[in-house]
Order: sequence, then structure tokens, then C-alpha cells
Amino acid sequence: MSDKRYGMVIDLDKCTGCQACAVACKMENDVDLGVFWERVYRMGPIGEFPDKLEMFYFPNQCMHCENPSCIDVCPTKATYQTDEGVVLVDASLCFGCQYCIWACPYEARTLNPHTKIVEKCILCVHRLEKGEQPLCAYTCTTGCRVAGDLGDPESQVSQVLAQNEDRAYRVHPEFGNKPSVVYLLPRKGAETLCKSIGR
Amino acid sequence: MQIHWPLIVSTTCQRVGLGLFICAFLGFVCVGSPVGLSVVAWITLVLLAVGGVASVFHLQRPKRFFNAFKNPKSHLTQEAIVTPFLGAALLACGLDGVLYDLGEASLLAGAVAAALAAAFLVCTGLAYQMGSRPAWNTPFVLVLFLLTALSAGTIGVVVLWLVSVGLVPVVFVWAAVASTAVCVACQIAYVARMRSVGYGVNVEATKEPYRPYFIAWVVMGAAVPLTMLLSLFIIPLAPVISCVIAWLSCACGIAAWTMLFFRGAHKVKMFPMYPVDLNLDM
Repeated sequence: MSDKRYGMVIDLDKCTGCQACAVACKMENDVDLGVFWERVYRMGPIGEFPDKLEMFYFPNQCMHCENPSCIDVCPTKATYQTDEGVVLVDASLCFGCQYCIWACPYEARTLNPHTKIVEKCILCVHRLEKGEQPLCAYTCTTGCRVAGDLGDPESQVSQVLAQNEDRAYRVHPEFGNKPSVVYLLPRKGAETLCKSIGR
Repeated sequence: MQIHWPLIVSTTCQRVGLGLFICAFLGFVCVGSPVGLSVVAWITLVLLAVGGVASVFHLQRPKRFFNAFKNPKSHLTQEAIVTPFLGAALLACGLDGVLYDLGEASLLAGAVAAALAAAFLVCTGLAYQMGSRPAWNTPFVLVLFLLTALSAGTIGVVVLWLVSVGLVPVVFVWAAVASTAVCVACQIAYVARMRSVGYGVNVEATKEPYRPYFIAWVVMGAAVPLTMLLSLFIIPLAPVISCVIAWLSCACGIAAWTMLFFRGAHKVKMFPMYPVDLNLDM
């Protein structure tokens, strides 16, 4: 059992919605047409210009939950978790029942229409193991993403998280999935969201 | 959420078939129903086979079907594990009196098959109870899977009872009316709950795009079966035809209900307070 616990911190204050991460992901992992392991949504705009306008970009991917609902529902054990906490799909076992797609609350999974297998972000674990950042983080034009070992307090990702603990947010904590992708809420432009979660 | 047609067919056949067997067994044990369990077992096996074939069409890689037994925590694996035992128990009941005579053990075989049928329905109901789909995040889902099976099962037994001996006890017709009425009441409660599930995915079943399924369910799942069953007390002409119509309509009502069930099962929105520029519904 490894002591490492891979995760990612994404600073929504820095994301400009350029989609470079989504393109980089497709290149690095050879992601098929019509399949997305990484998407960037625009949230808003709502409110009135100039002072009450709210809008931000939200990069979405597999949250590599500590307690993933996709693993529980998968009848074939194609979905599994590595010792480092990364949730992966064994393509040789998946039979495309799609229950994992239904059970994931984070819209992270896609059925590949060509291979008929469910796919998702792998946190570029092959790069992390070499001490490199996932290509989405490496490519990000604003440096809004940092990945690494959340179990090591000295790691860059843990330090970024510690410095911004007041803005740290795990999406839909009420489901109990405990995502390993932590978002840092925007300082401005997401007042309604912050109010709804008591920030 | 999209309607997954193979699952509509398979879950409808399962509920109609398994509900019929459970109710026939209970009727046999409790009130000495003349409906032969071996005949019911064959009907159930045929319906299960149709449902099983349909569910294979849902799988994108059906050749890997046997991987389905790997995760006992998954309700789908539990369903897959129950299936061969259920099939064997139903086959044992079906062949009883044809190839061999189980004698007093017939009751035991029937009880085992009925228990496995109930277990199968519970596994299916639990498989659809999902936190990520607010409309499905309720014990109503399991209750409705069982109640729809009970409703179709009791009506089916009334039909077979009438076909067997031409008469059916009034109490059993009332049981069919009561189970259908309770089922419809729970379905109404489920539809009412869908209006306020939160997460930006509230569903008004009476409006588009849900309206056609809602109307189909009201007509076929509630109005026709109840009217046909109650008509037996008012105009007892051609009771077999009335009951067959009620049974078929009930089965179609379950299918229509399941379509509404799928259509209303939207995924939670990340941040419902904001409009999103990509379609999140899959």
C-alpha cells in the first residue's frame, strides 16, 4: 500500500476558459473523437454589469474520489482504484453497461462510441509517476492547475492547498465521494455560489 | 436522461413475469389458487428470457457478459448471481408434473423460486437508486419496482384463475384492485416528488418532454387496469377479456412509467444557480 495520494488543485480564479487543457488531454492520451476526459464549462453570466456580474470557468474531469460511487456500481470491476487513489478503467474488462456513467455525480465519464468502452481522465498517472505534471497542468496557460501527492505536506500541490484553504472546495460534498480534485473558488464572480455554500 | 429501450423491455418483462410467479405462489399457498405453478413458471421463464435478451442489447460489449459476476457489491452483479439460481428454480417448478412429480417438495421449490424472484426484483430496484440522479435518490425506486410487480402479478393471477376455472374469488379481484391502487398512489407521490428534487433538475411530468410518457402511464398504468377490474363488479360480461385487457394495459403502463422514470432522471448540476454553456445531460 502506497502512502501517496494523488490529487489536483484547480484555481478557478486563474482559469480563463482557453480549453488548452482539454486539447492537451486529447493529445497526450490519444482521446477519440466525441470523447472528452476534460471539459471546460462557462458558468454564467448572471447578474448585472458592472458590479453584480458573475461568471467563471469550470474545468471538469474525473475527481478521482476517495470513495468513488463508480467503483461500487461497476459489475465487472473494470473500474478500480490504484494504491495512490487514482481511479482507472480496465478496458479489457468493461462491457459498456454505462452504470458508472449514471452513478458518477461529476459528469466525468464518456462512452467511447467507437470502442464501446467507458473512458475518463487518468490523471496522467504515467507522468505523475515520473515526477511530471499531467499534461493539462503542464500546458495550462495561467498555471491554474497543480497535481501531485496530497499526502505529502511538502509537495507543491499540498502547499498550494494549504495556502488557499479558505477558498478550497470539493464539489457536492454531500454525496460523500470525497473528491481528490479540489477547486479554489474565485475571489470574485461567484458570489451566489459562495453564498450557497456558506463562504 | 435518454430512454434506454433495452432496459425498458427487460425491466418490464422482469416485473410482469416475476410478479406473476410470486403472486401465483402466494395465491396457491394462502387461498388455494387452482392456477398451476408449473404453467406460471413457464410464462415467467419466457418473460425472463425476453428481458434477458433485451438487456444484452443494452451492453456495448455483450461478448464480455460473464464479467458481470465480478463485483458482489454491485447490485448488477447480485442480479447476475441470482439469475441462474432463479432460472433453475423456475425450471424445476415448470418441469414438476411434466417430467417428474416433486410431491410435497413442490411447495418448497415454489417457495425458493418466489424468494429468488423477490431477491431479483430487490437487486434491480436497488441498482436504480442513485445519489447522482436526484429523481432516483429515494427508497421510492425500490418500493415502486416491487409494487409494479405486485400489481401486474395480482392481475395476472386473476386472468389465469379465470382461464383455469372460469370463476375467481371476489377477494382476489379486490386484491388486484388494491395493489394497483396502492401502486398508482406511490407513482403519483414519486411524480410529485420529482417536481422538487433540487440540484437544478426538477421535473414537471405534465409538461414537455415528459408529457407523452406521463399520459401513457396515466391511461395504461392506472385508468384502464382499474376500470377493467372494477367493471367486473358492474358489468360482469366477458370477464376474461376484461382481465386480459387490464393485464396487458398494466404491462404497457409499467413500460410507460419506466420511460418517464428514465426521462426524469437528470444528473445533478454542478452549480445549478448558473447557466452552463455545454449540454450536461447524457
